[in-house]
Amino acid sequence: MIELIKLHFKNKQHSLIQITLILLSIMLLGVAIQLISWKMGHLDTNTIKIPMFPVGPWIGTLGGLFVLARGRNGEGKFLSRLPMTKYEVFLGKVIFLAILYAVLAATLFSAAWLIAGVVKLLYPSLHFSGIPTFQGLGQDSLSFLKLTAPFLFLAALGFWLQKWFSSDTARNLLVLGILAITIAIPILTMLLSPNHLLILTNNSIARFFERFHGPLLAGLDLALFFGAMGLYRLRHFRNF
Amino acid sequence: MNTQAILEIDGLSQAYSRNLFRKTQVFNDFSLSLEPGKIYALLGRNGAGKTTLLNCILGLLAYKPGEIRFKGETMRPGNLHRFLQKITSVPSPTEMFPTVSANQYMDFFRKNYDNWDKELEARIRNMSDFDWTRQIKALSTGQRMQVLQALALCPEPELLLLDEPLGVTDPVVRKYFYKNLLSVVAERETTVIIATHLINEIANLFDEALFLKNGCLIMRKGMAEMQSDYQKFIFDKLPDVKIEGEVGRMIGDAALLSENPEKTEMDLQTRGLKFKQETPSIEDVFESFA
Repeated sequence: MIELIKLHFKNKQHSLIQITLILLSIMLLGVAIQLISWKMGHLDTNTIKIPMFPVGPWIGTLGGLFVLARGRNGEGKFLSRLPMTKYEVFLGKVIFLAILYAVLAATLFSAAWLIAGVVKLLYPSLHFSGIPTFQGLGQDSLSFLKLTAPFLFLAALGFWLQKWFSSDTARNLLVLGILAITIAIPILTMLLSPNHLLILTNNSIARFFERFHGPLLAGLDLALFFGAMGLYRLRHFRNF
Repeated sequence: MNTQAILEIDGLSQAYSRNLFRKTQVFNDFSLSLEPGKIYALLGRNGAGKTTLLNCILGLLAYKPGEIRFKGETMRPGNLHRFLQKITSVPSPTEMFPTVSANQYMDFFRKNYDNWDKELEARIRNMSDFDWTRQIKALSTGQRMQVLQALALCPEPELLLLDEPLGVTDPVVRKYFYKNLLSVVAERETTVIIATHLINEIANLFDEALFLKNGCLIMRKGMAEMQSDYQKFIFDKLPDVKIEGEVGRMIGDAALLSENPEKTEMDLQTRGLKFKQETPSIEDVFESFA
């Protein structure tokens, strides 16, 4: 199992370094712009906001989908040819995801603290907002776990469905299921709610977005994920 | 030599789900038995079921009903990983993890298999012309094939499955791939199944050819048997009628293949048709049956 996780890291280390560097650059750039604005007198307050990324929800949502993704035309079956059970392969990916999240979150949180510390040393009159706390780190980890769980369940369901359907069909069924749930929840709520008589007013649309931003965001995540897979033609994800 | 079948396929049925409602039946009640230590060429046109059959053996595809037995023991999804210690395959180089080095691959595989032939590994490394610390994406297709060959042979498999292993490689790579492979499998009496379209290149390598057509085994013969059992009749223009003894035609060559040359010859003479006779190549037999 350790060897399998090490192999995933070796395979994904480039992508991991790239993602970390991009997020760190955005964070640094955000602080630098605010600092320059403050020095030039364009900032009304003495407070700088650290642009911190909540990686938990993102990796929690997309990570589960990574576990589901196996690529097309037999690609990504490399590990299945080895003398390992498919649950070992599955578990290997899940543990890798958890470690990946821990590494990325720890790097970003420490970077935020470090940047804030260095800036504070140079400009003691400045204040900061958005500096991550241990409570924030805990909440982020919790959202990672909360979001990973349903997607891992779906991945396991996908394996189970493969008893009857091909892996492609099983995956398509899952995607259809996710989309159906995303679409069905607001429609059912509207139908069952006494105030909605199937008339969509501006208010009801606003209420709908207010109420269902969670599923909508999840739907958006999905669209982004599949869009990205299409754009990269599964190049980076096919062997995952 | 041990005569117990190394692989037995019994009543295998496999269908691809095209979507929720439509299925394509590839195999229906397919059976096959392979002897240990032999090299089998798995031949057939695209869609005949070659890759599906190999994927079923490897457990990459589910099948129902049917049974696949390795040395008499039934392979099931739950116990498949045990058999994969003894059954290896050479996948397409595109399936490899691009940023992992050849050395890291070798380390990973070595730790996953119970047996590992270090001597063979050293031999393959010495024969290779590239740095094994390089990432897979930095290697040419031929070099990747050398890595895959090492990964498939070093675990000392009893059954080796090759699915179009050299489709995109140059003739030099192909020549050395088979040369190395044969020297190893001959030493160990490994059973090999090679599914390929490059039939002329393996004509002298295999013990038996298994011809698949629409998921059915339509012929199973050795090269010598094929050449003694069949005769090729070449014409200026192919006759419009079916000739006695005819089993198939080679449209491009204006020729037909006969399983009963005497009868065919008599029939052709009766019809007053001019012809030449030739010993068929494996490609001729393939074209006639496919």
